[in-house]
Amino acid sequence: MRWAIVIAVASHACKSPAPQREVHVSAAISLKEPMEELARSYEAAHPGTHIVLALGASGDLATQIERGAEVDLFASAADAPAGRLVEAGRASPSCVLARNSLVMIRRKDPALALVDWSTIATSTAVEHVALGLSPSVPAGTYAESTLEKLGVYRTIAPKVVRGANVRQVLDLVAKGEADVGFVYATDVRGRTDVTVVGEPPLSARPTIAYPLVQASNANADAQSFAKLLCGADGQAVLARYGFLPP
Amino acid sequence: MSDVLWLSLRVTVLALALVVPMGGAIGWWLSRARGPMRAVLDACVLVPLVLPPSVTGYYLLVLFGAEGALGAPLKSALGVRLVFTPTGAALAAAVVSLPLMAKGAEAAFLRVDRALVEVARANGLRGLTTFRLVTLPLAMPALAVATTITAIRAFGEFGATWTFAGYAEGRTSTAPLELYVALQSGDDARAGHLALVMTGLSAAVAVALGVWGRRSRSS
Amino acid sequence: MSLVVRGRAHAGAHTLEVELDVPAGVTVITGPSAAGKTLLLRAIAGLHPFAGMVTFDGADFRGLEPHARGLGYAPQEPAIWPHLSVSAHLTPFADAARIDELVRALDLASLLARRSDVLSGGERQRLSIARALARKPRLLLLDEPTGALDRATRERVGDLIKSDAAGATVLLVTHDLAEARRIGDTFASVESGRVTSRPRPVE
Repeated sequence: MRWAIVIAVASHACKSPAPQREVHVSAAISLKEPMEELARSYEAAHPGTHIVLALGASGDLATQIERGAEVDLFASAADAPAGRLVEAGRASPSCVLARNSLVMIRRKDPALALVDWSTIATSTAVEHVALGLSPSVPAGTYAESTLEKLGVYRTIAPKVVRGANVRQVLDLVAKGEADVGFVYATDVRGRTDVTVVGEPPLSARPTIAYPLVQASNANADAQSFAKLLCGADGQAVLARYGFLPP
Repeated sequence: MSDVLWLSLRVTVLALALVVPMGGAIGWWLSRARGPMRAVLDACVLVPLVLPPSVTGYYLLVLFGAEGALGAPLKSALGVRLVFTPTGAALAAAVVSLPLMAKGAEAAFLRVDRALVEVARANGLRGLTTFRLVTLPLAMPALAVATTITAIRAFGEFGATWTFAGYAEGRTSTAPLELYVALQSGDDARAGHLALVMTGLSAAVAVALGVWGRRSRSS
Repeated sequence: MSLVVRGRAHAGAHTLEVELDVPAGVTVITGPSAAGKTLLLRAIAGLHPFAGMVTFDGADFRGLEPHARGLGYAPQEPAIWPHLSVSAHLTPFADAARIDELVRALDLASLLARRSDVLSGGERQRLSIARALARKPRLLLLDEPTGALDRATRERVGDLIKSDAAGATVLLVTHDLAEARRIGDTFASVESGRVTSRPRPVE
């Protein structure tokens, strides 16, 4: 008898007053701050709709979707992970959200010997070079191809250590586990513990674009949130966090 | 594939070099001590067993990271880094498998008939001589089993290694980490292959332990 | 008096009160089983906690580890090390000549290379006695050392102990009154948890 009451109470507690609608969004972790802000403002404008954000390495997120994760929108930090889903017929392109640039970073420490793009392969001050774990982490793939174009990747390959996403690469450099790292310019905005060495030489500079794709069965809420992201309001927020216009 | 297994083997051996003497000594002490200090050490030794490995890895990072309480002096004084090195991976594996070695060694020493130790002491053999002549040889079979179980745990360590030692190809990329990375990057064939090899190895050791256990009981 | 023991030892609910003065020579300790004879020997050896004092030839045993008490000890169960050969039981304690002497006297010479876990009960007891005698200790604690031996062997081994340990102080626990009379110089008994009587000469 008592159990019946407990169960009745429990099942009642599980029922929410109005069924909440959810939009599942997977996004490259470099988009963390603007995505969170845009999700909050969308939820504020559309009561009853909840944006469920999954942030991580774009390649990992694409793999999750391929393995059956139900995701309405996917914002990738490179063409390849989004392209895989489009080719498989799981998603269709919405727009290009933004562009970004790759930078070399070091820990902010005046005692450190100077290192730049021309000396990275030869400097004895460089023991660990932090790259995103490619191909899952686009920032790692961009950095690899840039270093290859500069002809130094083979030399530094034995020093390469991997971050599971671009923010972990940033963290590895900030904590001193790695001596240099490669992240997006937007990742280091407002960070006082790391310094930007600079962008790669023009000849080796990668083109970094963030495509947004939506699932073939995306509902009206998802489409409406995608419209916000691709539209002027979304673009304004992205610009405020340092992203370049598409 | 073979270089991954070779690295895993090296890391496991290095971990054993740390954990077997240390866990053995702790087990020896636990087998003899009484009172509150024993209870405290007993609980401390079990911590890595009850903590999620990622939490153990976090504490290792706090201690032995480049900015850690021990890691910072280690780096500045000796230029030694543990994160992203095989030694770091071995340290993570050693800490996580320490409870198995310590408790296994404790049980091994407790199983040695006290009368056989006492007769050595009462006839004039010093503690160390008694240990070498009587206690250690008699505990050896059970210590070997404890070492084998510890080795398998160290070989399969993932969480603390990932959190503390990180992922660096050829240095910390042991078989369990490689499997995870292969799975994440969608390389299912490689993940499946690695899973199969590790299952085979672990099963072989489990069967060997069983056969050996039956043989030593019947002899 | 050579060995003086005053105090008490506890084992579980039992208490053994000891007031014992032992001269040099063989002192036979008798008493019903479970009276505390083994406990007495273990307390003197430092293997069991003892509240009180133990002195031997003026040396205080308090705070001395068992190995530093200069004893020879043969426990009731022979406590043979199963992983060692017969000879390896003796080499830590004596040189080759002494080992040779002992194994001849105790009929162990043909067994020296044998694994000890295949020895018979009698062989185990003789090996345990040889181990206790090997260092020629000045204080010997023998806990029913000949219980598994036949009558003839028992007499021979008893005589050996007597002659080999001449000048030493021997505490010999035994149930065998014939053996007690044969080799005992003095006599003490443990009864209802007390060793109070001073050893008196065997009648």
